[in-house]
Amino acid sequence: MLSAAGVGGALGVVLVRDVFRAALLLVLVFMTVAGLFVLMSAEFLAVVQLLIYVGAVAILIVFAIMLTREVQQGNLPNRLQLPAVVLPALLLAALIYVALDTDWNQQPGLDVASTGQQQLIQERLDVRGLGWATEAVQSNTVGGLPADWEDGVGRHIQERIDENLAIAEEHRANLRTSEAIDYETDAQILQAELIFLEQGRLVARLHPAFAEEFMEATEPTPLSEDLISALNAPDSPVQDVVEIRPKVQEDRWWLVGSDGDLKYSVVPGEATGILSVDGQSVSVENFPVLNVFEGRYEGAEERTGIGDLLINDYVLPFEVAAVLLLATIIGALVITRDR
Amino acid sequence: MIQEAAVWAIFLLPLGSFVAIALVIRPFLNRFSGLAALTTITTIGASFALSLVALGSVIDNGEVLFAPHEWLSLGALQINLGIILDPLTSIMLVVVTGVSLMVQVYSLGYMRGDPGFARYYALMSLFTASMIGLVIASNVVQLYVFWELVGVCSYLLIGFWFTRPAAAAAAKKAFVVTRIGDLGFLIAILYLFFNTAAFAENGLNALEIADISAGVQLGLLGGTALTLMVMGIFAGAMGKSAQFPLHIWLPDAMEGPTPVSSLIHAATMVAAGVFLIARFFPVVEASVHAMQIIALVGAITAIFAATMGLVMNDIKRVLAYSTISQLGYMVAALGVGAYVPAIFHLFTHAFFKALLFMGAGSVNHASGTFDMRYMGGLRKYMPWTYMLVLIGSLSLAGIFPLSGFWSKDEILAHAWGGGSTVDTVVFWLLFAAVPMTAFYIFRMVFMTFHGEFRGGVEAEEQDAGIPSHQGEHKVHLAESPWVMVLPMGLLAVASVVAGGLVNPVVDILGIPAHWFADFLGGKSDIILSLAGLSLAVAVLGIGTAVFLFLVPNLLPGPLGAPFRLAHHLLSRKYYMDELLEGGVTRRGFYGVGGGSLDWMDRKIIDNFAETIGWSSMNFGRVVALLQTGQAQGYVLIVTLGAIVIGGVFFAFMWT
Amino acid sequence: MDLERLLILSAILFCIGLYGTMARRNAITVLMSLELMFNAVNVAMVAFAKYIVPTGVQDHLGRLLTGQMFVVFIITVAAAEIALGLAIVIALYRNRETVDITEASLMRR
Repeated sequence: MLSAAGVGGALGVVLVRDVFRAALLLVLVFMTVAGLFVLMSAEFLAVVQLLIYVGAVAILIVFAIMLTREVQQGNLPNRLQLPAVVLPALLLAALIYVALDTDWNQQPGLDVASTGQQQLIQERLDVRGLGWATEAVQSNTVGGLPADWEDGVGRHIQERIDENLAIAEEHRANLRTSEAIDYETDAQILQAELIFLEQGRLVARLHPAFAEEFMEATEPTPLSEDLISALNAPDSPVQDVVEIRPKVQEDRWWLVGSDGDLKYSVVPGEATGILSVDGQSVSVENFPVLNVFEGRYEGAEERTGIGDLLINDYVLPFEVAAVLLLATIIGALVITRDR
Repeated sequence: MIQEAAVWAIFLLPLGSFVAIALVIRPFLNRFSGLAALTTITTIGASFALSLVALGSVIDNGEVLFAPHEWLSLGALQINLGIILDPLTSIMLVVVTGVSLMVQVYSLGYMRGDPGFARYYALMSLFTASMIGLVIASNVVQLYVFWELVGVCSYLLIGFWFTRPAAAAAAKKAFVVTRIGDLGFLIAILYLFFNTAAFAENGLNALEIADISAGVQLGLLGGTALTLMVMGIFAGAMGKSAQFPLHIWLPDAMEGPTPVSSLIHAATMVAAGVFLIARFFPVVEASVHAMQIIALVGAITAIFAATMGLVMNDIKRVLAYSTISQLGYMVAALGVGAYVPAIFHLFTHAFFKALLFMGAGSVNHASGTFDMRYMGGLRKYMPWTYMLVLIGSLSLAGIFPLSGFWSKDEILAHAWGGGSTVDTVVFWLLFAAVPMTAFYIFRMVFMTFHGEFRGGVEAEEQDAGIPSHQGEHKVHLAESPWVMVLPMGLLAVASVVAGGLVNPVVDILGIPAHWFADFLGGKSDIILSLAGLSLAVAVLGIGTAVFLFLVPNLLPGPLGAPFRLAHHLLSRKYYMDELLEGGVTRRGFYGVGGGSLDWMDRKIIDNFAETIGWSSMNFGRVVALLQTGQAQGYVLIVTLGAIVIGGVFFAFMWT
Repeated sequence: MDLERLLILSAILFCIGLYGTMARRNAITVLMSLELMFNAVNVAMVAFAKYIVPTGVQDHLGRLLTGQMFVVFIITVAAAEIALGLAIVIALYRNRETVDITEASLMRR
């Protein structure tokens, strides 16, 4: 809806003959853009958009139109019609191609680690006596690496593996098919669990072999239809869940998607009250593996965030913008001065 | 224990004085230029006091370590700003600030009434500050910055009276010649830059001076590369410390005001070179070949300059060659591994050479000239100056028990005890320079202070054919004002006691034997028989001077015919200036290098440039057709360009 | 609301604005088209900020808002631009009694 209104309004701006109406349509476009900002949860920007564009810019334009009314012959086209249609059309084609062709789902840095990075990871692992995990690293490659990966990758891996080893030892008995998944397979679990701190959250990718074995070895906890629908409610952070299986740890659950793959790992008992499984309160611990990163990081509040950014990271551009605005005021005054 | 801030203050005080004078006093308060002198003397005085505190702190606690501050960091390369406060630095600090303080006080009298009075003090402050910065620098880059600053200041001060062509030329010469040496130093630093990674692997910073020494001990640098690097460092020292063949700038540097010469020769510019080698001594020591070269260059310089000093008629030039010669001693001493004697000689030499220069300035103040042929008999008019200069001269000549005797004989003893061929050669060269030193300095004393007064600047101008102005008295034969005599007196005291008391042979007055050497962490001794011998030849030199200049007063050509050729050769400074300027610079550099460049410039570059010009002109004509003045047309073209770029990008992506 | 869809919307808006900039005689319409282009870019920026997270964000959570930050600056620049542009239009009108941009060819010599 908004998009359609926006595009229609924009076309109107450039095609309608009456300039004043064009200006009104422009206001419409501004408002649709503000609406889009709201939808993209950029409320602050939406307000700014309304204030500056609808409030100030549009008024300015209307004033300019009024002032120059006598000479308005409407919104006439010039001699450059043909190239002016062809070139934007070409550009549009190129842009749409790029938009569709680019694999946006792969977050930047989530694609396969470069050869050099892999070599480095391998070296780090070798140094720590974790050479066996190399294959997992290469096959998983766990996507992108944290910004400090050069220093941190080995440490992350080590910490994660230590943690998982302890958990695995502790909960071995709880694993119903501990015979099937022997110690060697524990290593596989660990490989599967090579989890990197990535983009503000832990992203894990399961080793396919392990996932298969796990699926064979475990049985789903029965779920009622109500629960399934509650799980997949539109505002739920998990979607497309059809069954729940116990993980190696007692306090974790795996959620299995309709394609039969493990999709989410959740922690029951954290009283955030989003979901309820068998009367238990469940919160989502990890975000979807192999899924579009949706939603924003909890730590960043938008409004305060922008303020923080302005006075911390972007002080200089902010000042430059301020000076620019000042210069603009003076410039506009000088240009329009009555001689 | 001294605070780091206090050490920085030693450096920052004179710097602040420079800033205050340059930015406040000179532009706004130039009428009260006394303020400039007051500022400089106060700040340098405070620096001197702090230097003494620093020295005391080092004496009590040994080397004081300060963590360096990170200045900038580029990958593995990290450049720090820091302070080294080891015995060497603390001694240099005291020498630099002390001599500088004396010079500033002296300048009050010498420079009085000069229109550039405030500028003079500003530059002197900066000069002192840069030398202090050089001395405390813990990092090669930091050191190099101050190294060049010292060079710039000396340029500005030598050319202080820049309206005189000779002064301007001398300043340029000093700057260019020292730059030649600096290039070597720079190359050495760049070599260190290249080795940053190797140092970093061992947890060292290739640019920290202390780490460089450690790196050499670990074997990170070695062999020919080390020798070449040391030679680069030495090239820098050669330029600054006026070692053969880069010594030619120093005599010409006499064109600057005399106190400047005093400062340059005693404490700052020329000392920087010796200091540099001393600072890198652990590195230098690791290269035997470099050490040999350094020793030989120093020894050759010592004898070479001494011979030229024999015949100069300009009092300051005599002293200049004397400085070169004495620097030769120091460098040779470093070359034979006599670290402590070299620093010791630098220490004592600073006092008596500053004293001698001040004496020359004082004499000039009275007679108006620097040419000794027009002086004479000044003893009667300036008894104090005479006395003080005599002390300085005796010290320079190495007469027991003045300071020059101790330090010089330690060098000789060390060279004698070295044993290798190079050491022996160096010893004999240095030894031969001893009587010459005594001779030329007493020739200077006798020509200046004894006999009858020969007219001063007025006679000089008459001889040169310059019409003398009526009623103008440039010669006023009288003792200099007390502000000039007092610093000379203090320096004379230092010249007398600095040698025997600072590094005595036996325990004396509660000072343990070889205190200076122990403080610096080395050893030094004199061989009594050798000292006696050198004392004897020095007295012989003085005796010759007495015989030639005092008794029969044979002037100006005292030497018989057989010596005329030698005299001519020496007074033309072995034709070194002519060789370097005419042969190397003019014919080689300008002739061959410049000629070929000129050809290239005209035939290749010009044609190339003209072709470019021609083609762009015609291209411009074509493009001008697109310039319609229609903004929308431009937008169109920009869009087209964007699409073309995108298209090219896609095309490459698909292939 | 997919990233792709938003990007395509942004591209469409941009190209419409581009067309308007190139093909209209009225200077005010040209300026309005420029505003369209700015808005298109803003939409794309916010969309990227929402759907794509910069690397190294765990060190600095504020970076998540970098895209929105850009938009703030773009809005600033756009406001400045429109003010100056309209001032020029007014000046043009005053001197030449026209707002036809094709007649304003002062840039040619």
